[in-house]
Amino acid sequence: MSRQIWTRLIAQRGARLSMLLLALLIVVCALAPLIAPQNPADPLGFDPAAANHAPALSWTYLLGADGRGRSVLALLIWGGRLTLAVGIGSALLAALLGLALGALAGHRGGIPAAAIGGATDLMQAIPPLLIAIVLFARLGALGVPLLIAIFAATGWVAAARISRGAVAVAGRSDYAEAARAAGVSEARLVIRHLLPATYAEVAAWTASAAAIYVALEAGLDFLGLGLGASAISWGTALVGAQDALAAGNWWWLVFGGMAPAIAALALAGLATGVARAVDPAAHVTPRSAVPRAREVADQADVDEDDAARAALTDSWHEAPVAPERAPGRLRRAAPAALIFGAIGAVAAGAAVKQSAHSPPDASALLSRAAGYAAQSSTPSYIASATYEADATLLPAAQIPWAAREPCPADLHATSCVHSDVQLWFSHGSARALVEGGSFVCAQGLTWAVNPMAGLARTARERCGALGPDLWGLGFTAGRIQALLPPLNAPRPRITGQGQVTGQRCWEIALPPDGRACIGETRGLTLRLERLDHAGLPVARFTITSIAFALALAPELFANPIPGGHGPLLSGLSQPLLTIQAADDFALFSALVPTMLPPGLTAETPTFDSFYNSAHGYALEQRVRQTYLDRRGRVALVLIETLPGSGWDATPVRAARRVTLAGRPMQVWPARGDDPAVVRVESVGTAALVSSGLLPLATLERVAAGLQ
Amino acid sequence: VAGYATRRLGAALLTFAALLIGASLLAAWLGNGCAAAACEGAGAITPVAWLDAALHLDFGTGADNQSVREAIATALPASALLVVPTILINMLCGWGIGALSSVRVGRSSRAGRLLLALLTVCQTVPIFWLGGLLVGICAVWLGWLPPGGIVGLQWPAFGTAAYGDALRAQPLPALTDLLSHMVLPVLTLALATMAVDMRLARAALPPALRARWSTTARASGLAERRIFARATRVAAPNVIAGSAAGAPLFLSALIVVEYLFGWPGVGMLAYHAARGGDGATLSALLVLFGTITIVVVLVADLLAAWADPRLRMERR
Repeated sequence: MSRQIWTRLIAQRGARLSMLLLALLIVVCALAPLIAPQNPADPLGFDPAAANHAPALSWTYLLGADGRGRSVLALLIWGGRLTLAVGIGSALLAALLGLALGALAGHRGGIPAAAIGGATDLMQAIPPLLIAIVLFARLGALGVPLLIAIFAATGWVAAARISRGAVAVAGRSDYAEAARAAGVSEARLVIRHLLPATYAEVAAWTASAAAIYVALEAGLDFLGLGLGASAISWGTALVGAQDALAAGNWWWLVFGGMAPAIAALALAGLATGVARAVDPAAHVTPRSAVPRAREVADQADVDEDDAARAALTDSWHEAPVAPERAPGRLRRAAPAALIFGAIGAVAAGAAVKQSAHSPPDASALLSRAAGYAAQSSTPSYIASATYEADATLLPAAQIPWAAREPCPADLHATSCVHSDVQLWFSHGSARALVEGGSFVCAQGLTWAVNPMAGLARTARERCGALGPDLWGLGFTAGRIQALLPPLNAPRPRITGQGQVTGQRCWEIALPPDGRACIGETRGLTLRLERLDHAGLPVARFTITSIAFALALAPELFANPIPGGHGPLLSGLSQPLLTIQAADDFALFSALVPTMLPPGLTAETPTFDSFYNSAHGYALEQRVRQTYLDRRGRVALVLIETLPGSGWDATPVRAARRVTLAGRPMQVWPARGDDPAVVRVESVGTAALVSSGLLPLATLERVAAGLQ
Repeated sequence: VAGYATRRLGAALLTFAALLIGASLLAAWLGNGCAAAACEGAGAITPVAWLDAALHLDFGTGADNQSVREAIATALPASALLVVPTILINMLCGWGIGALSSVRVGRSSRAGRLLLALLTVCQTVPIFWLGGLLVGICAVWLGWLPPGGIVGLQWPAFGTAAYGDALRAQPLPALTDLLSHMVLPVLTLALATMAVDMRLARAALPPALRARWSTTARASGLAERRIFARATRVAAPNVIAGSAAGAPLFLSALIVVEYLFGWPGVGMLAYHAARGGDGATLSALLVLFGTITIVVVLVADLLAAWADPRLRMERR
């Protein structure tokens, strides 16, 4: 009889296509080590320099590369293993659970049925994604088995409904009575005679559930709340793809999302096919017969609709409509379930298998480390790094702000300077926290951030220059960076093994006076040292931890609003208000104008951060006070400013010079969208910016009233 | 109907109680999530204490030391801006298309089938891909619509008092801006969920149109339009009940869509709470999502029961 179902299944064009696609996907994913152009899980398996490589006529870049340089094709081939394992595995487990619990409830009734009914109601009330998210919050990255368990725990309800109804109805039928009379035990009756009647229908449900779970798993991983960033799945493969879209990399998202879409569609198609094949009322055209496609399609429509309605409207409490079917006829439809079982097992087994590394190639190690250190590629990562150096290498005049500290034991010096750096990179956007200052690359420009004042643009520089320029900002980190050797060598060779923060690394000599130790066990570990004449380290850069392919919260990099609104600041927890800024604040309170126009209310003063190229790129923070009119509109902004700095608030057009109350000032009347500005020397230099609500004469009077 | 309603209400209350107990256990297991020094009332939470507070609508403080209740109250309007239009579109378009395409019972309606196929594809593919493609086409490529966020850069953050002021000061540009940001997420959510409603309408209407009472009505000369109206009335409760049963998957989709579009609603709140290990917010959201589903399903079931004459006539 199973042959009949099979015949009816493959008689349908849609089902044939679905099975073919599914088989193809599974075979391709199973053979990933043989056919994939790269192994994206291998940190040395791809070329960071190929980030955002456009689709080309090569096996590796047929579908282009992602923001880290990984081949999209390889991501799809490898990623399918986990996603298919979770999707199909959870559907299967849900089907098994549902069969068992549904049969129990349907056959026994009473308390078990009530308990299972209650569990059904509860499970139906909670979005499956939320359960996974909640567990992620406590456990971190979820494993494949756990994810399968979560989806199955919420998904068994529908399968249970099918088997419960069928078992309840069939249990009262004549042949069940006959079996009982023949001395068949109740358990045997259910397992051997009643349940098999539901196999085919449950198999159809399993396929449709697998379609949902494939999409759900990919979605969960896309959020970064599923298997974790280090796992390669169809979801994690696309983390960051949306941001890359804006930068012109469309192939990553479009091609990368195609695989889960095709898999889900194929599974859904298979589900329709199986449902139709096991439904005796459905007209299925035999393959040999003259096709009557339209009729089949019409019929199929109704069947599908009925199935959808049945699946959705049957509440547990209402009497289920069970199909009256002879059990023996369909019980060998179990092959469908077996096929899924085999698929799941293969996929899960393949997913668990890890790939082994060969000993690394020194030049590959170097170029990879150089890619991260120079941010020439645009991967997504958070790195914590430390700069340390012998203080005597850095003249005090160069870094007057840096404190001298005792040196770590392995640094050959007595007094050291040190700086901790945190870099957040997300696909072309970057944020660095350097010595308390914070820089962001957004909308293609470099911005300085502080949590109180929001954003101030530091320079009209493109973000491409953000990486290298960060080091040139004049921070301690930048000074130490200048001491270090470049991360390249003509013919690098691995000279030994070392350790960086507990991780094994490979030592590479960088002639004449440098040494690097690079490891790849946990993302990237890197130590870059400058050696003195005796070959002992005197300056050092260490990446203490790096985590890449992270789902950095998008708002960390989005919406730079010069006014200081917007979610960008919510991600910042580091108190950036430095002592210097506090000093400025005291200074500023002496600046408050005595001649304010009536009706203006002062907002709490805020701080702007900028770097001052005129003073050795030191980070400066200046106070800003905003005055609102009665309707809450910004009428006047008073900025403590520095001529020549990046945050000057001085228009680049000719000024009118005015002397009022014996004070010379520069005046720029409002023009077009540009606000009116008055600059005057007071305790510091103050700029008054008016939004146009105040006449220029008032602005000048206020400027004259500054103390 | 009273008997059925009582039974159904009792079951819903039991489910709600189970939900609360589950959430309380979860809250105790998850802990507060914030560093002990940073948060008030941090430390171990017992399920009983959590339940007691939760019954007074106090869900504690989240990871950023903000009251969870306030955070949810701030996020809910933003989510409503997505959910309400989506449901309206689903009802109008999904049911409308489904109903219209099922009127031609004998003949096949090619357009209706094509639409259904298209919507089924939209429903099956991962929603983040669907949304990403829409962003790519409408926002990045054509530049017609903003790719994400809820309000434009020139406006204060949504939900703040400043935004309320701006909305009052310049209602038209502010609303236009808000609407333009709503288009893509609502479209994504609607496309991904509409197929269910359309299928339900297509499944529920033809039987009603073919029913014997329809034939009787036709024979007695009632206009086809009137018959259709009656059939719709008969079919609607089943469609509503069916749609309501899809609430958990709808809410799952909402989380992904809000993340995708940077929408500051409850889905985004859940995302951030998960990232920050914020147990207080997560358990509150669990209660919120569960309660919404329970209430929606209950109301839909009662509506269906009330509309069903067989149940209405039931005397017990």
